[in-house]
Amino acid sequence: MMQQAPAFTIVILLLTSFWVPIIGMIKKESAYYLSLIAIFFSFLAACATLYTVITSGPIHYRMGGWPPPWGIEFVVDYLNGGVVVLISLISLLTTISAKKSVEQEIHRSKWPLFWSLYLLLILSLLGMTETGDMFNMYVYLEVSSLTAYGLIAMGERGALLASFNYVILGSVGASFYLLGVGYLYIATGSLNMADLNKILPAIYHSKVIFTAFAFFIVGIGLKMGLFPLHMWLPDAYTHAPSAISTLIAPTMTKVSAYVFFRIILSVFNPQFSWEVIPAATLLRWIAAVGIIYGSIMAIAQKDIKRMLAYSSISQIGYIVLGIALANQMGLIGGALHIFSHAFAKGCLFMIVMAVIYKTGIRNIDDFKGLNKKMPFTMAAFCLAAFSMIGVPPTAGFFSKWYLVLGTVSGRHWFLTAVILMSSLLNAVYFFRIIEKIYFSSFVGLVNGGHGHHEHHEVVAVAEAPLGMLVPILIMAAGILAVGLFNTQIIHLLLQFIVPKGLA
Amino acid sequence: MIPVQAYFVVSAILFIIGVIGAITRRNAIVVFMSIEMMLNAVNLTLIATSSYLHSIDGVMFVFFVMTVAAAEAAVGLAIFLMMYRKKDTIKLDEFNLLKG
Repeated sequence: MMQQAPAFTIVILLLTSFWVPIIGMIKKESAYYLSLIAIFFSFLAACATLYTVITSGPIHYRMGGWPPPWGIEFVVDYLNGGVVVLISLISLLTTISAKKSVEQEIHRSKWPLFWSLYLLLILSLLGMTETGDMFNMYVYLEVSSLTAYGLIAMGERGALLASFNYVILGSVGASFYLLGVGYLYIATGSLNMADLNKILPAIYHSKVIFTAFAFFIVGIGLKMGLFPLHMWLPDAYTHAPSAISTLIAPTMTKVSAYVFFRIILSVFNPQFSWEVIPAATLLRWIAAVGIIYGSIMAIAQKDIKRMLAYSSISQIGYIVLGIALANQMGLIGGALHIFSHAFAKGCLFMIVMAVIYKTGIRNIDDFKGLNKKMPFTMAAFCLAAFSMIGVPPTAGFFSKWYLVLGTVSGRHWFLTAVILMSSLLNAVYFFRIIEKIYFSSFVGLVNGGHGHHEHHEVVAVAEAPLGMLVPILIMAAGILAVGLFNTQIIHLLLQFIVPKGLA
Repeated sequence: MIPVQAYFVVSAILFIIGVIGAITRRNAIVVFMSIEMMLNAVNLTLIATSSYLHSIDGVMFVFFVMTVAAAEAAVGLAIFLMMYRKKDTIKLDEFNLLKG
């Protein structure tokens, strides 16, 4: 049973996503509960997978017993075992909290289809994380893109155009990735990651390999919203249904960031990625510009979802910076940032979903005095915002701390300044909201027109429903847990990604 | 006998034409055709390699890519059709102008 756990994470969701629209035809409400149960069992399977990895080392699972070059191989080691649990945990919490919001934003007749696509999206993200085959990765990448196009298009006014832009850019990005796969196949005749890692070093100076590497970086960079390729991201996050923004913001870009780690560190050797071609230098500059650009654009936004989207672009910059620093601390910081940012951004988007559900407020100026209305939610907002800024003892502080140590040990003083400066900018755009929430009195939306005199009346507490509040509080606890137990996480999972002999 | 490199050159040229088309053209249908062209350029590479290496893997990959391309065109055109019904145009620039 434990040996089959990696397959179960995927298969449970796949079978359920097939049955959800069929059963949903008879009873619309059943679609949600079926999906929730499937995601819960998938989460249990993910935990079992991680447990097996920690107790008895990496798992090599062959689908149907076919040997690697022909069959699909799932390889779960320490890093992606952690990412699988992270993704399925956040999906589970998002699903719990999304029920009311989906019922409000999506038309009743579309619920079964919505949940079916939703399951497929989660399944493809888990598949991308677990697979050990470059072509299989392409298939999962396309499944995740295709479902995301459909889900984003279900959103409010403007969602169609956002989704359409994403279709074009996403397809171009996937084609780039596919051509990279094609070139690796020309050069080696194999697409299994472990195989490639053995074959590639002999032909590292071939131009085909350089081209393939460049195509991979562009393809995955587009998918993760790396700075110059981020054009689809703000619109898609802003106009998608709140439940979908909440699902894709913490998971989709993080999974792509993990794939980035995997391609640079275990498909190609670090020696190739950092020494044969100067990819690290280029990525460092791109990441630095992206960090600053994302933060500055976030300050300029009025819509809170759009602001969080730009802040995501900046945070992706941190993760890429971690890889591009090419030293021990940088890599650990980048990998830890996948976890800390997933929790913080997931928590923030859940809070935004709850606020939109409860009050319909999206404009940052309307957040005035919301602490009186939703005290617990806003407390969690502060905690998540502190993590984004990097205030100890939240998770964001520790991942940024390792990144700063990485820049110092690599003598990249400019990048140290970039990280510190970006933390200041993060503080600017989050404290702007926190100040609105706590230090201005609440003026209801209804009497906003004639609110000349100061309102000091007591606002009734109208907290988010329990189904939304509990996941938010669990995520907030997760932020603290990743921060406080960061050394344990690094010892248990992340230290293994650092290649041997790296300072 | 045509050398295998010739196929790679042709597929690279097709891919580049596809990229340029997808980026510069403003007609949505043409953009989709360009994306299909990029995917089919890769298919050509995979099939040529497969026959050169006498292995069946590449041909299998091509079937997957064709399925994915069909799904992508279906989703993309469905979204595009919804936009057309709302705005009554197929020029991408006009969608941007009419946004809001």
